[in-house]
Parts: sequence; C-alpha cells; structure tokens
Amino acid sequence: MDYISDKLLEDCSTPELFQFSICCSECKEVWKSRPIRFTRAGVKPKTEGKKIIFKTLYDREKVVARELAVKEAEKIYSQCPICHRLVCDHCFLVCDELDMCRACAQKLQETGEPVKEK
Amino acid sequence: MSHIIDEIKQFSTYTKDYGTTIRRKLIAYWIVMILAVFSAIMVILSIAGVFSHSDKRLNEALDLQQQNTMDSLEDHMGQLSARCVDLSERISAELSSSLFLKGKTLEMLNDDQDLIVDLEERMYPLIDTTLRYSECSGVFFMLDATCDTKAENARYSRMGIYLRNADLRELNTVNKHMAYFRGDSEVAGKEEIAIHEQWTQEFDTAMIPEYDRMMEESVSDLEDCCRWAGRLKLKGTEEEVMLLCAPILDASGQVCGICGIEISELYFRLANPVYDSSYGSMLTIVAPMEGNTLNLEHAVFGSCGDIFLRREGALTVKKEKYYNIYSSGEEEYIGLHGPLSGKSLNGKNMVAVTLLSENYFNKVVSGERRLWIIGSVLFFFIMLFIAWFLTTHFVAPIYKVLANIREDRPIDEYHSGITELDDLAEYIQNKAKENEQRELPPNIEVLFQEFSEKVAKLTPMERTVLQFYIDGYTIEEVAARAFISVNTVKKHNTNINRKLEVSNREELMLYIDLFRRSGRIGEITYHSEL
Repeated sequence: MDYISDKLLEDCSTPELFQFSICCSECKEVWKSRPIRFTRAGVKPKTEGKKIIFKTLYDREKVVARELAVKEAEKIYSQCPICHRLVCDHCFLVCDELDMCRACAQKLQETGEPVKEK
Repeated sequence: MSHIIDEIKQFSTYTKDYGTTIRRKLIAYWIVMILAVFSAIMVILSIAGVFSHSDKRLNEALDLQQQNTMDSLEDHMGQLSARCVDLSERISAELSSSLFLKGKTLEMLNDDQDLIVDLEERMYPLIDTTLRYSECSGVFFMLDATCDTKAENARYSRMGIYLRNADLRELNTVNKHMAYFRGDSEVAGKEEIAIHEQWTQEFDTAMIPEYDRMMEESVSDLEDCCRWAGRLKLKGTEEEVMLLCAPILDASGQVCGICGIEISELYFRLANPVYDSSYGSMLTIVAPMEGNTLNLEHAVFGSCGDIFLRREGALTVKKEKYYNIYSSGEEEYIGLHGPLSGKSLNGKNMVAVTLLSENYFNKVVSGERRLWIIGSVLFFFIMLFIAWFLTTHFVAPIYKVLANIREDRPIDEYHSGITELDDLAEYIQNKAKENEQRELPPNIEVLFQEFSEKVAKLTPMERTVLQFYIDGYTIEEVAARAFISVNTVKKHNTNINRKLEVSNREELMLYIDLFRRSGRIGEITYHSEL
C-alpha cells in the first residue's frame, strides 16, 4: 500500500545526483533521502543523440531512485488514519486502540507513546 | 510321509512368524494366474479336439485287429484253397480212373442211375475226408451229368454229392456230424449219413453264379481257377453260404464239373466273433471289391455285435488319414480293409474288412473330449479359486496392518507376514513415537493457558499487529497494510514481546506455530469487535 505518493515527495535532484525530501505535516521537519549519484554524472554528451540517450538514462535512474526514496521514507513516516497526514516517527503515537498523529491524539484525548522520542 | 508333513508345517509357521517378501507372494500369485490362463487355453484346445488322439489310437486298434483278421483269413482261405485244389485233383483222377475202368464216358453218366450211384460211392470218401479235415461247413462236387435228361429242369440239374456239417458246435474236429444235402440217398444209406431236411438228389446249377462260364473255362492252372462264389442262399433253405469252387477236369483236361468247399454264414460268424474295443464293436467282413466299392450282396459277415449293417447294397470307400470311411448312403462306418489272395467267380478281388460304427466312435471321442474339457474347466476354476484365495490373503494383512497403524496399536500385536510391510509399519510407528517425544513439553496445557491470557491483555492495536503475524505477514508487509512506518511496527513488536514475555520474534512465531499445530490457534486469533 503506497501511502507515500509521488506528490508528497519533493524532488531535490540535481543533474549529478537524485534526492527526494518529505516534510512532516506536524513538526515540519524535512527529511531527505540518501542521495544516489547519476551513473553518467560529470559526462557531457557531445552529440544530440547522446544527449537524448543520457536524458533517457537519467529519467530511468530517477524513477528507481524515487522508489528507493519511498521505501526509505516508509520506514519512518506514517499516515495518520484520522487526518490522513503524513507524520514522522516523532509525531506519530502508538495508542491502545489506534495509532495516530500527536494532533489527533490530543484532539481525541487519546494517550500514546511516540514511535521515536526526539 | 508324516515327516514331510511336519516339515511343511514348520515351514509354514516359520513364514508366518518371520514373514515372506512381497516379491515371493507376487511370484506365487503370478504362477497361479499363469496356470489359470494355461488351463483356459487347455479348455479351448480340448474343445477343438487337439488333445484327443482318438483317431490315431483308433487307427492302432483297427490296424491290429485288421492284421490279425487278415492273417487268420489268409491262413484259413489258403488252407481251404489247397484242400479244394487237392479235392479237385483227386476227384478228377478218380473220375477218369472210374470211367476208364468201366469203359464209359462222362456223357454216359446221363440217365444211368447205377453208374451215378457207383461214382458217388467212389467219390464219397474224398468228400467225407475233405469235410472232416477242413475247417469248413460243407464240401461238394457236381458233374456235368444228370440222372434224368428228360426231367423238366434237366438243363439245370446235375449229379453230385454235397455233404454238410450238421452240428457247428463240432466246428474244427474230425468227428463231425454230417448231413447229406445233395446226392443219391442210397449212398447216404450205405454210409449211414443222415439226410438233410432240405435234401434233393441233384444240384441246381443256378445255385452257382457263373456256372456256365466255369464249365466253359479252359484251365491251365488249377489253383488260379479256384474262385469264391459270393454269398448265396442254398435252395430250399434260409441258409446263406460262400462257396470256394474249383473245376473238375476230365481225362482230356476239359472242365466236366465243379467241386468245392462251403463256408456257411453261420460258420463264418462263429469263426469271426465281434471284437469289443474301447471304440466299439469291430466286425469282420469278407467281400468282393471293385474300385472303391464293396459289394455287400455277396459278402459274408462275422458276428455283428451292436453294429447295424444291412446285408445288401454296397459300401463306398473313402480314404482318410488314419482310417477309411465306408458309406452305405444311410450310415457311415469306420474301418480298414486289405486284399485277400482269393478272387471271386467274376474275377473281382476279395477283401477282408474290419468295421466299426462311426456313431459309436464319435460318441466315444466326444466322451473323451468332454472329459478333457471338464478336467480343464475344473482345473481352471480351481486355479481361479486359488488365485482369489491368494489375493485375499495377500490383501487382508495389508488392510489389517493399515488399520493397526490408524488405531495406533503396537506393532508386536500383529505380523502381516509380508516382510516389507511389517518393516514399514514398524518404521511408521517408531517415527510417530519420536515425533511425540519432540512435540509438546510437559505442562503444555498450562503454557497454552498462560500465553492466551497474556495475549488477551494486549491493546487492540497490538493484537491487530499480532494477527498480521499469525496471518503470516512480514514486518514490511504489516507496515504497508497498516499505513504505518516500519519503526512503528517495530515499536509494537517491542511492546508485544515484553507483554507476552518472549525474547524475540522467532520465539513469538514458535508460540504461534505451537498453537496452530495443536489446533488452538483460535484462542489467540483477534476478531475485531468493530
């Protein structure tokens, strides 16, 4: 279940490396994925044909890097079942009935432990 | 014998105690099945008559009987021919001598009763001696003269003597009781011979077929002119006889009369009794043969037994592989025939035939075949029964062993007698025992209860995560399904492990597996009330 969609991922990639970021909806802390270097980084295409090839390679590697970034993000970001916001482990509480974000827990007067303490 | 039985019993007990291999049992079963198939083939071949060598055996029996008959008849007929020739020579000599001494000719015999009587007196001893010392039922001679040329039947009436055996019980003895059948009664009176009931003084030449031809024949070899007149009825009687005829020669070598020996049918029947073989009664016949046809009109028959054969018509001969078939058109007979040295008056060869009824033979053969078939069918069913018995005894112990394994009875209680099966059953039971020993620790019930109680104390969210593990999901899959991070799942894991007092996820999975294998997974399954 891909609850971390492409829209939530910010593309911070450069021509040399691929990187993505997510912002926690609660604490606004920004998390960045491990940068992945483009295999053709630093190489300047000499011909138009080469440019097209390099562009295709870049797009392809970017898709793979995005998928890896999503997998990384899934480890530390949860989707609140109440407000459906994406929050980090610091802002996501493990409660008795239902795990939820800090804001919803406060609103619903549920107690719980954060997944990770800050 | 009892020693052998004891050994068989010991062997049987040994095989029961220690068992035999499946292979040996199957071999025994297959042998029985092959024997059953073999006996089925035997049944088919028996029906087809392949095994009944009746034809060959019949041929052997017929051949033997025919050979014996031929030998006997040849010997007898040879003797009679010799005596007949001898009689002819003596009569011829006596006739010539008598007529010469009296200065008479044969023609002068006609109408001269005294001369006829005188001649008959002279000839009587020859006839008498021949009859006494021959194996026959009568002896005769007739000359081409009559006592009354003016009589009505003078053309066919001829003088002579015909002496016959009065009592066939004295068949082959010298002291025979004789009866005067033809000849002058004065001679009979002088010789003190009884007169036959059907006596007449002179012969009727119609009695002998071919008489005229015989009288006209020129004789170079007397033996060659000795011929058999086929069966004919004696005038004035119901008796049928066969006559061996030889010419009587005058001084110039011309035929002037006929002499001969009689074989009556009764005599022939007594001399050739029926032979009872295993294929039925065998009958002897002497008959003239032309081509492949036997003339029964002129045949003499031995004792018939239970064979029915008309004494008229002819039998057509058809050669088969082992015997001949003789067909009268209405009935068929089986037999063999062989030529005799004698010839009939009309030059046809005389043959001796040994016959038996084809119907009777077929009955015997079908009886034999029936025995073969019944025997083969019985054998077939016995083999089938044995095959069924073996199969039942082969399968029954297998079922018993399987039942014992299912009901968990000790292997020592029952041995199937099949080595492989007993070994397999023992292995299964030992394996089951090992598994039992590995399976559940002691006080397992207490363990189950405590764990169930701890599971019940988990929070709904923790139970949801536990349920994911029970359903077989990994940590990553749980995170994806619950829309939570992997770290959140790990947090839940830590809480669950602490509350359930397990040290790691492997131990937790072990507990879950324990519950599952014990069939008690339902006790820890989470059914959400929402």
